[in-house]
Amino acid sequence: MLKKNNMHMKALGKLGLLVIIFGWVVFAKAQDCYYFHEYQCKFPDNTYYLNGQSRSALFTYGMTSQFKMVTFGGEDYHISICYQFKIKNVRFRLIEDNEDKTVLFDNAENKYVTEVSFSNNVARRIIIEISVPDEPTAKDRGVPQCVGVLIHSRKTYQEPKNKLGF
Amino acid sequence: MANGCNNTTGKQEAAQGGQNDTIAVQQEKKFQSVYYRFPTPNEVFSFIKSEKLAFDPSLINPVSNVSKYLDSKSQTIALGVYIADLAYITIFESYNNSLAYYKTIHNLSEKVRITSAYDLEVAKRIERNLQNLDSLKNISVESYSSMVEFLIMNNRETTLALIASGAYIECFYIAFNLAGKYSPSNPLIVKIIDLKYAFDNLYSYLEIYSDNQQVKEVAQQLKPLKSLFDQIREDKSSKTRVKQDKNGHLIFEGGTKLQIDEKVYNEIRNAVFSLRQKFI
Repeated sequence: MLKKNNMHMKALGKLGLLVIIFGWVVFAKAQDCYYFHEYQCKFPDNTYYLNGQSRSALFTYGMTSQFKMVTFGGEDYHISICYQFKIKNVRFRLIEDNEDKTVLFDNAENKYVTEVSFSNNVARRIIIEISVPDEPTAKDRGVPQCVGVLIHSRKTYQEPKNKLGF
Repeated sequence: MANGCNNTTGKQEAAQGGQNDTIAVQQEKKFQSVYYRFPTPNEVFSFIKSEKLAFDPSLINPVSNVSKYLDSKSQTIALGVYIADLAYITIFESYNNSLAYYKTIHNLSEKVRITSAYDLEVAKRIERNLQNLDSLKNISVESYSSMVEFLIMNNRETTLALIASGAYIECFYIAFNLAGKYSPSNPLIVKIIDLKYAFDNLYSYLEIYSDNQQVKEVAQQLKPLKSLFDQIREDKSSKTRVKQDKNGHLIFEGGTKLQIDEKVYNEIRNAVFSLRQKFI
């Protein structure tokens, strides 16, 4: 009788676990990462303004996704990424959207930092590419999780031209 | 301003395959999606603003015109037009106009069933902040941003496409009026040319969602303007260089420079004015 109860308890435990995992998946999908970037990504100092090209999206392990943004000449940009994945090596690259596909920045060459700032002398189309590495043994593999890209911009500070006298 | 496009090839492959883990992982790696983003009207006006440019009330669409927009397509496009006008008002600091335009945007957004942004509580904040320039700019940016999030999260990218089209034509209309006649040394004209890339991304977005009839019609209306923007010359003589300063801040130098002659400038200007006439 006791053994039977134990089996029932184990079955219920497994069912509970399944419900939790299922609920987590549903929640992750349902939340759609609403404003994730604004809540989770690192902000620059207050000389920058929030840029409307910021975005969050759902990713899974082993997935790469890109978005194309526009930058203006004479402006500085600060881009930070944030993610729910428990790993630390989510890759993000800035690639100029030209014929050469010039790689402007790759965080894999910079200890997987999650933020970068740059000045821009001419208008450019830039591809922001996010790659979440595959983790075959990850417990949350297959569960969509949020990745945010927070963009800020400001006008590039121009040093006043040196003039003699007042 | 935002939009997205899912390339579903990877998803389809994953659905068809998945017989074993190895294949599934390989297919997952192949998954690629491309999303298009473009600057908001506030960012466009911040970019073109200079101390020499003054606010010109004759350039914005009068709020009294709002009664003219009767069907959903014209209301949605007009919403974009008024959003661009509010951005121009706030960036160029003509705050006496801000409340009337905000309320007009609120009314139109209710008509096109966008309820989460531009609400009347925010209108009250505007009334309280009429003398606070930064607060009003923030309100304008926040409202736009929450509208974009609302539309994307509710799978209403087609509505966003129409709003963005109206907003961009209004931005161009105001910018070309502020720039006036062609002069190669006019710094504002140099900035207007740089908006080509933003327009390109907007147009790509319209094409993605052109299975919707209203978006298709607007894309067809904008197609001649796209062809004209494509005539802007690209000087590719300088390669992009990346430098880094002592604080780790990157500096992107060189790269393609856009150049325009008087003929193309005037043709783009005329096309924008004609489209704006149709939109309002």
